[in-house]
Amino acid sequence: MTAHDFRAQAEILKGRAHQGDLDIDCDVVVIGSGAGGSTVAWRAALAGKRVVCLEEGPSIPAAEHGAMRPSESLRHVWRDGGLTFAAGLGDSPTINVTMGKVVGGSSVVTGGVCLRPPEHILDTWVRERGLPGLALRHLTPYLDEIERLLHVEQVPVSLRSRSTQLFGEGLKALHGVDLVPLRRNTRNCNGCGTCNFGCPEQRKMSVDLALLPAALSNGALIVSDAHVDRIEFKGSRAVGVRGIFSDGLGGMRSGVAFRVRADAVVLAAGAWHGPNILRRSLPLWRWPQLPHVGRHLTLHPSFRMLARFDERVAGWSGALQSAYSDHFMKDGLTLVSLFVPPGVLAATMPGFGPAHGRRVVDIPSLAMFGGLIHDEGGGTVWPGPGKDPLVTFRMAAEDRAKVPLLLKTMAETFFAAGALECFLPVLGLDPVTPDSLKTVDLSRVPGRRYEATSQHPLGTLRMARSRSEGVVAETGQPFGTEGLWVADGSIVPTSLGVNPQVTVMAMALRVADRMLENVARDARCGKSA
Amino acid sequence: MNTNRFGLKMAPGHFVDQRPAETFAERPIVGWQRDLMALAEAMFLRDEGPPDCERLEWFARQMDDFLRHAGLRTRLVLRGSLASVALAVSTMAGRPGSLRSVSVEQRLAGLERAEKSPIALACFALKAMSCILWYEHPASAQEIDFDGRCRGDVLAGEGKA
Repeated sequence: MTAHDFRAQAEILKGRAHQGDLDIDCDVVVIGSGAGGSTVAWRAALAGKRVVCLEEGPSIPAAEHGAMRPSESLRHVWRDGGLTFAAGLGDSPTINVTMGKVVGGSSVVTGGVCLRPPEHILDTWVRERGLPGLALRHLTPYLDEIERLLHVEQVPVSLRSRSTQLFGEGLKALHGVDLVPLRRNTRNCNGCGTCNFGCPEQRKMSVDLALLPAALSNGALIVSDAHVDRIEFKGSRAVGVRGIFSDGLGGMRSGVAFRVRADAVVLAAGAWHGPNILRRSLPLWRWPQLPHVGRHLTLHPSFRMLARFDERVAGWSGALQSAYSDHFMKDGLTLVSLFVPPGVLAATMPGFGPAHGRRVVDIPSLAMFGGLIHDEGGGTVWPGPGKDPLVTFRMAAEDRAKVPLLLKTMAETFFAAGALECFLPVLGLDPVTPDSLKTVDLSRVPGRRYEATSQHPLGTLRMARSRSEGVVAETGQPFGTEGLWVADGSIVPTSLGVNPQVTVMAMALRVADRMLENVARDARCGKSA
Repeated sequence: MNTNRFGLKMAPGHFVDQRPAETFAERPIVGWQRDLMALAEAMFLRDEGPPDCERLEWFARQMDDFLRHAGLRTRLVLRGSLASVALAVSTMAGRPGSLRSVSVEQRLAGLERAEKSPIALACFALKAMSCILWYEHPASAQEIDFDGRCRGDVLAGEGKA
């Protein structure tokens, strides 16, 4: 069965091609078309509301994306060409944070992993954060619905790449545990290993395929290339948004403006951009009333491990992400399978010239695994030059101490499977053998030399019981505002330790329901804008 | 054309890359691209010798196109990384600011030192993007024996699907 594609693209208004200004009245305007924004737009459109969903990036049909080379995907689909970063402070590594900037948001560039939030995390939110509405029993119906919408299924063992199999063999030999199959939003995945650079067969159910077509067919208007400048307020009530269209060339603006007036404004621009949209929208004197805006950024700092084997591995042949291990969750570590294109692999190998070239021809013999750290939230989103944020990240001392443990664990696991050498994610470090690993003191490697990535920015407008602890209430509304809701990764109260897409969407769906109840109540009372 | 519920005329269409009409192959190679090519010549030097000029030019044009689309911040980061690595490499060779007059062997030695120096991160940013682009060249798949086969197709071929 082939995936539903954007044949209904007739309903996507492309800002880059739009002539003249745009002025629209609607019931609900959603800023952002990623996992959170699409969920709200879908729910509201199916509830009969007139919905406008604004996306900063372009509209790129899945089939076109699937035909792109990795660098074409980076230049057209990824934010900043894939080079967005959080600057490391102190001894923290600078972290490359990858995000989508396209209709469908970051869901278009994920590996498709859909794990539910761990129960002990939800317990923490209820007991320590005072958020009883996020208890497992309350979130479960939303999680069930999201998994159904996204077609979340278990990755069959047969789709594991040889790379993943080898890590699994090491894990079994060293720790006596098996890899756990991942669950992903795919439909008949063929194991091409390129999910984050576009599925060549459109089998990953990112929200542009899973939710937006239904929103469109229920009358929602999706506008691409629409950069929201600010939310308009009348007193404490949000009444619409203003922005400007981009021309699709490196973010340069054409000067064509748009304005959308709405009874409800939903901010779903993500943890990276949401805080500054909110800051730009509020008068300066109100900033102290929301002191947590932009703070508490968690990233799940992630590190990869490459291992060379004495066999042809062809790690690209298999589901990009098929299995994981929660065996080290007690240490705050989650190990997840993955693979990357040859050019990215080549970049992560040390050296230049003939020596590097000899390593590159060994790419078919390389296996790869990734590990992420369940972090405590040391990042901050600051107002930056222009409209782009400046983001800093200071890892908590206990998180920083987990990095050597994670790398050693992954390398030892690969050696237990028979790896000849491992390439640690330390800039300029030569590959290590089982013997030389014992002599490398990773605790003395300065943070700036680590090569770290993140795909999960969360928590910069976090949900809390009061404005002294966070930015939005359990309903999703920022404290002290009306008519405004936040529904994206920024409201997640703490790091999750697992891929957050399903959690973000379930929370967004819950916020959408609260928003619709509120809009209906306001309409009855004649309070809308 | 149809009209949606907001009264807007909607044109069917697909993603259109609205680059200027000139093809990127026609744009002249400029100074920063020559520095990039000089570094790439060392970066991708092989036992058989340096890469040929056509591939270096293809690479420089690809980088130009990438930077035109990737946004201002990325342009600044990558062009800044290129400038700092070029300066460091030429300085290590005793000819600050004259990268193109430095021999390919000296450029290679400079890059290797830069990778372990305080500018390692800038060096990595440049190397990462360069490798991604370089290994997308049609000749690379053969060079590294990359077949890109999907697992499902492999299993089907073995009668295991």
